[in-house]
Amino acid sequence: MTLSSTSSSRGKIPRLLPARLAGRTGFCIGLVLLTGFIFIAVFAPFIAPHDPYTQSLMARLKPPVWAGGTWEYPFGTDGYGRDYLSRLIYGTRISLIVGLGAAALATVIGTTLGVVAGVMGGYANRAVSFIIAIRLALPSLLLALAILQIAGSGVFVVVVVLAVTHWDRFAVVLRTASRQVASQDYVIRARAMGASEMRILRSEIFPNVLNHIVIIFTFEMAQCILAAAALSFLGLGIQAPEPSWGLMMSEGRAFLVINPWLITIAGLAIMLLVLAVNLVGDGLRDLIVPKGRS
Amino acid sequence: MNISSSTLDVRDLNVTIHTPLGPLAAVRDVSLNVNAGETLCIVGESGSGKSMTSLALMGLLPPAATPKATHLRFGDHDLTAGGRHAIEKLRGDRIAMIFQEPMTALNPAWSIGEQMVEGLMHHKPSLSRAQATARAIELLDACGIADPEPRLSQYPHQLSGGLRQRVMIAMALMTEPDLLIADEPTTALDRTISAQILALLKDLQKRLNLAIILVTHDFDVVRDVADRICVVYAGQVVESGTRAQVLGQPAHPYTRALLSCVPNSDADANTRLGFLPGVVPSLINSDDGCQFRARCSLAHDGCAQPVPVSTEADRQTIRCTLSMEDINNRYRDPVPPAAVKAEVSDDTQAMPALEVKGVVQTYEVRKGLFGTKGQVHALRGIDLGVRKGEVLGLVGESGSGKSTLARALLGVEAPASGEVLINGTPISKVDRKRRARLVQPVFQDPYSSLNPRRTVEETIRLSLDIHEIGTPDERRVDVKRMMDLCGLPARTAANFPAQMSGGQRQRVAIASALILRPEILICDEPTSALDVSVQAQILNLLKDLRAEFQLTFVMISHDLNVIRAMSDRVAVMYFGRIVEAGRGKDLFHAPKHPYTELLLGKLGQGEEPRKAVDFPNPLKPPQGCSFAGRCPRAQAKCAIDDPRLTKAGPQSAACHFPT
Amino acid sequence: MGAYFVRKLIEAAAVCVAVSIIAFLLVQSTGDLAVAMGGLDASAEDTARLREVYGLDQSFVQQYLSWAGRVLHGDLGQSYFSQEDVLTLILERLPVTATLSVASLLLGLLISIPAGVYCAMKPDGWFDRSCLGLSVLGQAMPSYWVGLLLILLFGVTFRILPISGTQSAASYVMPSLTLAWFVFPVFLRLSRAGMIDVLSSDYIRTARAKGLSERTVLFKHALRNAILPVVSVATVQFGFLLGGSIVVESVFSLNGIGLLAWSAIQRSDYPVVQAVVLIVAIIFVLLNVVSDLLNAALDPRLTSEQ
Repeated sequence: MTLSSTSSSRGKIPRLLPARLAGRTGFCIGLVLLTGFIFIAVFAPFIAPHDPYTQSLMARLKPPVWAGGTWEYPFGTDGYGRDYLSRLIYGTRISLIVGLGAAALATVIGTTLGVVAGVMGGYANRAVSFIIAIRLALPSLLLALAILQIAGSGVFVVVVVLAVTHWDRFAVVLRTASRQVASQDYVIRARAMGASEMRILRSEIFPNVLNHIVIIFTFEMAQCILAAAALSFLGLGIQAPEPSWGLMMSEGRAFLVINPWLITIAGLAIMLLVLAVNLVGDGLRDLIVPKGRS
Repeated sequence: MNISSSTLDVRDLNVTIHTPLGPLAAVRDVSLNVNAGETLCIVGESGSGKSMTSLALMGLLPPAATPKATHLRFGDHDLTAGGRHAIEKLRGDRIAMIFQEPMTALNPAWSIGEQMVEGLMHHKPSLSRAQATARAIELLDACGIADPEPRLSQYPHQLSGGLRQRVMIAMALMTEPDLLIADEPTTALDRTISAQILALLKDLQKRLNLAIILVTHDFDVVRDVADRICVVYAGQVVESGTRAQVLGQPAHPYTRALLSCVPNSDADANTRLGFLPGVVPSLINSDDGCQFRARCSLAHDGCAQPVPVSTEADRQTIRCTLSMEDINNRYRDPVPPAAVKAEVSDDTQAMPALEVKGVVQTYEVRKGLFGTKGQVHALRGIDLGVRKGEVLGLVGESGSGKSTLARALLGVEAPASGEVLINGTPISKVDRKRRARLVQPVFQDPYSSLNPRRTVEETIRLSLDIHEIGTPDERRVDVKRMMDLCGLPARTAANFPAQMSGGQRQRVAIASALILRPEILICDEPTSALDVSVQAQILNLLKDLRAEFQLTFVMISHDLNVIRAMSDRVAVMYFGRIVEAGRGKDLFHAPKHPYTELLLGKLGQGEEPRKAVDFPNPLKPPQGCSFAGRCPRAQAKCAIDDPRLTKAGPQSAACHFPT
Repeated sequence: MGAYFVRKLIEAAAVCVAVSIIAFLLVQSTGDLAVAMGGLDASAEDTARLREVYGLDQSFVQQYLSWAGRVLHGDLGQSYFSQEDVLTLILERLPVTATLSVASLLLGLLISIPAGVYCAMKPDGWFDRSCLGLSVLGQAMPSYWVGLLLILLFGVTFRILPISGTQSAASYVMPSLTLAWFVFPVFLRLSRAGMIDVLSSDYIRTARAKGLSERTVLFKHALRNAILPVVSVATVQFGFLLGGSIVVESVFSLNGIGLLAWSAIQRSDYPVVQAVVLIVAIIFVLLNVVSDLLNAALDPRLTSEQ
């Protein structure tokens, strides 16, 4: 009989979403940023002032406009004389595609394992625990690099490798969540109503673990964007001449002293995108799981 | 009673909580006093402000809450001027408190001994640790804990709930306080354990001349321990007086209505319980008038004004615009129509609707990936028959296996051995959908029994969708009719469970169980999460529906009063077995098994176990009678030979030495 | 306690075996090993002899078993590139990476735990908001980028710290800062959430009801329980730091196992990669056992048999 009975908001009512948005600065900033990035990625050909692949020996290492450059190349040019801004714009596409693709695939792997373990329990649960333990023990970046070296790089391989190394959180959280949901009385009630196990999984369990999936998805998407950039930076992710942000920083390293903007701007771009995704994820978590108990 | 000897005297205590929606008056103008050696019970339903009152007295309110009192006196200390911090100096020294949840109220990281001595050593720094430890041992012993010394080095998780609450009490008494505040001290405990804890509190009170304030919602507890009673509603004390006054001749309309909702020993399956319409009002931005007026049958315009407390004969007080005499003349118990007597065949040869034959259920437990295996014996051979149209009550405490039995009766979980027959057919052989049309459940927790993602209408309609019964329009009409029958307003159809009260949720669960028109309803603790007035509404609804749909019921509960008010026949479960079964009136009147006697509080003086005794380990069931460890009449035979359920008088009991 | 420990060890051993199979497969999948070992200029006979000596003509299971046998005797094979013993190579480099990991972990813990606890005591205060903001930012910054910015600032602009190598203790400052920045958000959020959770628990209310001083309530009753999740995550993070130091070691040219593994990958020197994967995984598994033991020591609930 404490406060919770009077101010209880145990359920989640989607219709109240707009009202809850007020006063959530972080979430709003994240949404605006993310929308902006998606817009840039979709309309890259119309926004980019130059072709991102055209090299020009005459225009190598031009500084950005605020550091003595010209409006011809607002963010300057890289070591091959390619327009930095255009490469940055096209790079948005790669980051988003790799992040979304890898996180989506990881969602499928991790959710399947987690729900199977949580709902079935017993041997299935122990088998999944074992697989998770192995996955956590393996050094993921190292393994990802080795696989890329053996299997060759490319957007598809990078997506698969990242998914294979980023599904564990889904499995761990969804195992607990689905086990908890499966033991709820409304699941037993649905069974007593004669619902098939598939129907129970689809319409009783899945909708009630979906919020966990959404939250982890945003988190892992951010992680995958970072990891993809790290792979490129180490030279084994997306390959040149693609305008991948990680690769751009790797290329910019050689000119660290001459033109520090080359690494600064690409790094900022990664940071802003990851920040946007994380802010949206944090905001979603606060919206779905109300803060505090009293 | 002499006012000057009051241990605690509080006048006009107010607690306001600041919420984003406005100030919430959780406690308003509460005055109370308690004397040494006296127990004051603060009794009320959810939202009555009873726990806030006790937390305010301890100075333990959450930061958002502000307390204020015009007069606050503790013994010789006048604390009125000191405000919030005045009481903190006495806290844990002169005033001690015990809480509801013994499972979480002790720190898991420190031993019992450390947690017991630290408070005493903090308040009496001159004491040595050895002296403090000696006192801890003495108090654990006084609190009925056998062999107390080794307990000191144990950790909370190694003790059962009942033992932990004993430790909590011992811990609270370390500094020899004058006042003990107990907030729902037995609510989380089983009936038999709860009785022991209350007896212990009374015993300690007598020996230490302790003043006790006991906060509870449970009238059984009040009846057992109260000297004086404060009835609180929506933050106000509506009535106070001695136990005899408040329970015997309640004055305030709320007290009267509430008491009529409590199932008592006269209740049986054919009578309805009392009736208290409506719900507790929101306390946010509420006015100063009588908070009960919206639900009161005697309410008039004057009730919207602030209501003074009036003292009647023998210091019984009420907060009402009417005098006690006026209320007496005008108040009429709302007499609800008597339930139609359901047809129960007394023919023992007739085929039972539901039959349980030698059902055994075990669960495997395993620690980690390669841990050792163990078997929990949840049901250890159950035989049971439920006749068409009757209500069978299953009573048992936690761990007795009653919920496991419910799942076996529903056919959603196959037993390890034995079988459940439904209309003569093994339930495992009945098709899933056919089975659903025969038997449906109503569960305990109205939070977890409804899918939070479905509206009321969708929840009730779900069965029709699964079974593809009727056109969408026909389904809608049927759902509407069922909502109406279960007392759900049509406007709630689009609500999500989170937007509804506990009682309404339980109505949704019942409507959704009945939409398939099943023959049998399995109710697993259908009201134990609800307030007593809401419980009465739900039990009355079930009684009405029983007549309307010719239902056969299995009613599972730990609460004897609920079982008594609902059941034709009763079976008592203990540790995975049925230990006694028979007609309700026989069993409640003359129990044969000592466990039933213990539950009913009918064991003779001196037979009640004073020392805490543990439940047998479900991983290793004892060889003989499982109750022998707690039984006052156990003999050598009981430890070796496991008794079977045999005829004992009009009922049957599993005991070598039935009463 | 004993049974608990044995159970954890058996689980750990099973994971190690599984990891070794994966490490073995990693090298198997790269093509004909005899050709790889012999080099491009080896004759057909030489290749055939290598195949025989290393049992490469045997069945897969036999090959794994004999490889595992050699690994158990400390023989992790030879580098294709330098022909050196792989174990020796790794043991030479391990101290560098271990120093870096320990330094950054300690740095991260020393800053984030007190900060997290303070945040929890005044949630939504200015300090709490700044710390949370910082941790959101920290999670979004790529570690190598932070490293490069530090190099720009302290190595190039101010010239007060060496930008590469392991010559002095100063060489570890920037790499450790980089990695500490990376673990800070994790521990901050954990200790903050743990403390907030514990402070609202029933047993804290009990401690307050006993009239104990606020300091006793905080440090004796709350902190120990709040810190439990940090302990297990800290050991696990240490394992991640070992495996994840590749980026930072390459940015600062620190000669640790990360850099060793990276250059081995670039040269397709798979015995080295295989050995690093295996050793890092085994260290991780052992750390998990240590973490379980630490937790058991701090939380009496885990070990006792009811």
